[in-house]
Amino acid sequence: MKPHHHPHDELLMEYAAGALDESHSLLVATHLSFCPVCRESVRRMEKCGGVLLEALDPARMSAATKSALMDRLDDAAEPAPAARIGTTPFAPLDAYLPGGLDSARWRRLGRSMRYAPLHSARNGADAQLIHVKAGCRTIRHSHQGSEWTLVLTGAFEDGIGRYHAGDAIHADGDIDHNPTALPDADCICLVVIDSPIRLTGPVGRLFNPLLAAGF
Amino acid sequence: MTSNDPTPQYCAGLVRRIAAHRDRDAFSEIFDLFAGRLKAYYLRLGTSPADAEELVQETLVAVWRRAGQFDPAKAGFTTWLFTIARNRSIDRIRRERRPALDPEEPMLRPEPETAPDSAYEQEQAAVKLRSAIDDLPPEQSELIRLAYYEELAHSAIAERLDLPIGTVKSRIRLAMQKLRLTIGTDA
Repeated sequence: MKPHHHPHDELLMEYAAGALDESHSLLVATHLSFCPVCRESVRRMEKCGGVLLEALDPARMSAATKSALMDRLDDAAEPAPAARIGTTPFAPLDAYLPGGLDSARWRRLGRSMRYAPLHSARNGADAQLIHVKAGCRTIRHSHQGSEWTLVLTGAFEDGIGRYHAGDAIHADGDIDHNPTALPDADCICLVVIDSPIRLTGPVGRLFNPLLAAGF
Repeated sequence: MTSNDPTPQYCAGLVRRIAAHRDRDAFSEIFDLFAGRLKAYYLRLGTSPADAEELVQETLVAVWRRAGQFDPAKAGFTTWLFTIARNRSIDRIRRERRPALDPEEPMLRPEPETAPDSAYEQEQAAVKLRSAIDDLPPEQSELIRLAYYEELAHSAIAERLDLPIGTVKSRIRLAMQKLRLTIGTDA
């Protein structure tokens, strides 16, 4: 099934241009593994990069560089890449989880949830996995910055819509939501946040100091 | 660009000669055509001239070694070169990883349902895209250039130009529509 919810086009362009931080790039790349439509958009955006490279006025190279480079060439061609041996079902995640999803540094968050940090980008964007048990509610929270959620397995609904594997959903400071995993299966998501989330429910508030220490 | 610029078919032929015969003359031509442009690309990303030349060398060594993996049915030579240079800048200048669908493959493949473009169609598409970029209003083309040439995210562009982020996003969206870079996924 193809995803119905996609990363914004600006995010795709930042990814193609090389401008996107690592945490968001991880989310976009993993969405691409589900989504032929966005793959085609990124391909066109990479073409645009090629055209722009060609349009640059050449800078003058120093005289010795070319002969130095010709001396570096050897006859070895790089072997064609071997087939991927995946540690996870999602190629872009493999480098972050060399032992597979189970090897993530999972931490419990209440009885029905756990999370595992994957990467902290220098600009403060954090990528993490969130695992919610089937049929369970996550902790109610709102956002100071922006939050991107990509469903990896299972599905959830948040009162606005239902989201399935491959869907990428954006939330920002205006949204105070309380997502719930659908009852058929556990739901695992990749979540990228710009700034710490605020837990807004009565129980959730107790976790805020924990989150501040953990993220 | 001038009318003497090499066509994608010509560049693809050079890469094929490298792949088939380790042809140094073909490589020398690629150097003459693209080394200066690659250096300009790395300089815009804020590297010193010496570092830029080193990165140009590394990029072109990758072209030499991966020539056998280049597939002109997937994309033109300059697109391939751009993706190699982009990935190298993230790795060597920003020192970050670049998560990708296929970590060994710098460039995305066309979808099987879209027939691979012929070399002629690719050439026409590149010419069209180039003139569409030239036709963009300056306030839109500036943003595209900042994203691709300086690898600035939209928040950084907004800060640099002292514009609200919403304005930056809507101008970039307009530019992407005009350049037909997206196929309308935003619902």
